[in-house]
Amino acid sequence: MSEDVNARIIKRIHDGPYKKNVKEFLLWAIREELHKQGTKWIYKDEYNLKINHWCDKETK
Amino acid sequence: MKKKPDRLCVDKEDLADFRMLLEEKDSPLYKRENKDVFVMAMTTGYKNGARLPLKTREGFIREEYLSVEERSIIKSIAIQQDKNLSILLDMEKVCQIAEEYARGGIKYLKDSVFQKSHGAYPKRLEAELLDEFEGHHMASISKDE
Amino acid sequence: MRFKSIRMKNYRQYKEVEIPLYSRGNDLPVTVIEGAMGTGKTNLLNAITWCLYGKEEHLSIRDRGLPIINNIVLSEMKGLQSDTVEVKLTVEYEDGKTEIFQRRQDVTKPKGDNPLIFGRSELKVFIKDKKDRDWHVSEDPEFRVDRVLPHDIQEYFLFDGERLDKYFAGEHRRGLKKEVFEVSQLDFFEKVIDHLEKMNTNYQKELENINPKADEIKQKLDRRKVELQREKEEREKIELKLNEAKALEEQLLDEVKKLPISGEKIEELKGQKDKFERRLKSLEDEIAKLNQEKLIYLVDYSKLITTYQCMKNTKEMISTKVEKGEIPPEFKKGFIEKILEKGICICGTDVTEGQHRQAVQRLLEQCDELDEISQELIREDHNLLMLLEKVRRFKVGLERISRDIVNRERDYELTSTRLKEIETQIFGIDDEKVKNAERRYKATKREIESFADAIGMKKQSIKDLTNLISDLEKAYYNEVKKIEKHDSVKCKLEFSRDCVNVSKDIMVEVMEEIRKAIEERTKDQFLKTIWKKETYKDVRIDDDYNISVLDQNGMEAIGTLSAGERQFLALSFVNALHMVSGFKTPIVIDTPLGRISGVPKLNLARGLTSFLEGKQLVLLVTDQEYNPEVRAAMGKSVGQEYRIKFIETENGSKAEVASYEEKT
Repeated sequence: MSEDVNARIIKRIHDGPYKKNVKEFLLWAIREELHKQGTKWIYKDEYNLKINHWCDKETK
Repeated sequence: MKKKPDRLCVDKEDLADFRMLLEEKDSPLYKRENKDVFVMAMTTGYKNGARLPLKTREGFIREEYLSVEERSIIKSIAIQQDKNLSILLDMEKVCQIAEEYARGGIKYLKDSVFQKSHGAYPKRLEAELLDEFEGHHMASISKDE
Repeated sequence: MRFKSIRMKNYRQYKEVEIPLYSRGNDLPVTVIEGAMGTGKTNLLNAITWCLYGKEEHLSIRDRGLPIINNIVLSEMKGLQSDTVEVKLTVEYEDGKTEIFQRRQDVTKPKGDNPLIFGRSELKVFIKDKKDRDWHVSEDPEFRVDRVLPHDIQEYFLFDGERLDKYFAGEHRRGLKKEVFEVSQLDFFEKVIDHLEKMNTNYQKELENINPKADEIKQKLDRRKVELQREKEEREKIELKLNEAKALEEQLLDEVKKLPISGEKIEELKGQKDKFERRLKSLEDEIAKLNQEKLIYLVDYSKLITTYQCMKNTKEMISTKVEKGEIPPEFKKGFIEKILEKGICICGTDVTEGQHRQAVQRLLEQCDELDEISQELIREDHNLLMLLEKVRRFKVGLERISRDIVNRERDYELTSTRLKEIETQIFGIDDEKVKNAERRYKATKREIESFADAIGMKKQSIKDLTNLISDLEKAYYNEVKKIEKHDSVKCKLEFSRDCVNVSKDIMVEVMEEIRKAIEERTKDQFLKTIWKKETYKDVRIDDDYNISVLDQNGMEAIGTLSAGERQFLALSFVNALHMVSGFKTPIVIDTPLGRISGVPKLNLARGLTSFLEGKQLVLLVTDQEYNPEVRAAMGKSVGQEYRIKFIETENGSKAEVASYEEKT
């Protein structure tokens, strides 16, 4: 993602009225996608792991 | 005073010519009446000084059909022929003069109407009449009238 | 990021050329390379795209027929000899990293007249970080290219200035929203959403067969999702058809405008022709009738005029008699004869014989024969007077009829002339062709309306389905909550759903933000630098990336922009896009000022440099574009200037690039 757009999205996630666990997960997912771009990776396992980790965490 | 005849006649020989002038589409007298062609033939004959006696008389028009205007013309011609007003006492004579001028004039009339060489008849007629009209100063009023 | 240099070997006109596009000592961001038409200017652009993507995106018709290898080199090759075409583009980053993009292709000349053999072109990317001494080769050169400039959006960075207004043309408009999406690189975020949705689907599958109601809702949900996808696809198809129809409409409108006359005008002229023809017929009849009337008039008058003198003389004769008192007579002859017959006078005197009788006989002798017709003569006198009066009026009457005829004939002439004029206008016009052209144009317009309506309906249907899906999802998750076991899966399911929803909301918001930012920036650039400042008030970009320019009255003015103004608008838009994209990639424009002349050209030249904001700009210009005035206008921003020299030899031709100031 372009830095500019990246910044916009991250800002929205940070500032938005969303649950904390959702914010944390999305920030992780964005970083991971950027980091992993151009490489082959199996997202399902990592996503499942993180979803599992965050889904019942504190939401505030 | 002699009684006036009840009809005016044309020569049997000329009947075809009279009819032609009434029946041809090109004729200025197309579908007009017998008296129209008779009077026109008569005045043409008078203008050209052509007067011919009838050989075989053929009744052509009834006198009673003539208009006042037509009668006046016929009478005037007769009077001027005789140079005497008394001719009106002899209406037979008056009619005879008319018939003879009609006979004399029919050939002239027919030739004039159907000849093509000097342009269409209506134009020629118009030119002739205007010439005569201007020539005799017919537009001006004379002291006598 | 900067393009530091480009080196070409055996590439088309460029046998062996290296052009420094940027030097550290000179930080001015504009590089100008001037070349006359046909000298290889556009092939510099092609060299860049070939190097990065293996494609020459701007090849001229002439060059399409020529091999990529330089013709001098080709002419010097013998049978079975090979040589290599190579382009190297060096890119430098702010952090000091350097990348060299190198593409090579072997070309072999076979024996005889057989066609050339082209090897596969191969891309290599050499990378050196600031602190490194050695170069290393990238394992994924295509990926490196993608980081510099993805192919799908390269036309916003490396483009032909004269074709900029295709941004507003039908075909391109369709993809603009999608391309902005790509330029903004939101595809990364889309991947997050896509992955989350797939995880969500997996969790749903795990919960199948546990709660029948939930399953039922899920099936409905799945069907609706399929339906939604279908509606979206159908909408895209209709949009495609709409754009094709719009392109056809433009073409047909052009054809209609070229028609010598409109269908409506033809009908009008035909109507007039009929009217005039009827009028002519009517006038012909009137003239014939008047001529007949005239003939009757003449015939009737001929007898009077011919006998005029005769009638006049007769009248004179009668008048003389009247004046003399001869008519009417003092007494009637018949009356005297009666007296003689009766033998008694009215006074009672006996007149049977003697002197009284003689006296009466003498009276009888005095009676004129005319006495009998004196009344008649008096009547004739009057008749003749009337006839002579009538004759006097001959000419007046004739003139009146003649005048009527002349007027009608004049009217006939005028009408006839007018009819001829109309016939001349209509003559030779294939009114079927005109009508067909207009019919097709109108049919296309109607088609466009119906497509627009259909799109509207699809939009509504999509909106309804989206709402329905949202409701079904809520219902589904409510049912899922009721499942007593499988808390873990339920939790993950809900969580992944929440993440998807939040991501989609953010995506929409960011797209809207981007659209607004692009709109604002485009407007700002355009209105600030356009030369007709009083004419235009606003620039708007809608959700579908349709661009409007509003005039001072708030009316749509995009259709009235000149070529130069459209080019300027397109540049403003591209600049806005760059700002949003965050790409630091330089811009290369071929013939940026080609369609414009005079003051607008200078304004655009000045305006170009305001697009930069730290970006490198490479301009490939013709000598006509880069005249002294333009050069002066741009002077402050131009760091490097070059001139292409085209050299023809007996073996072929080549281009060399030298500094602008060098004598040619």
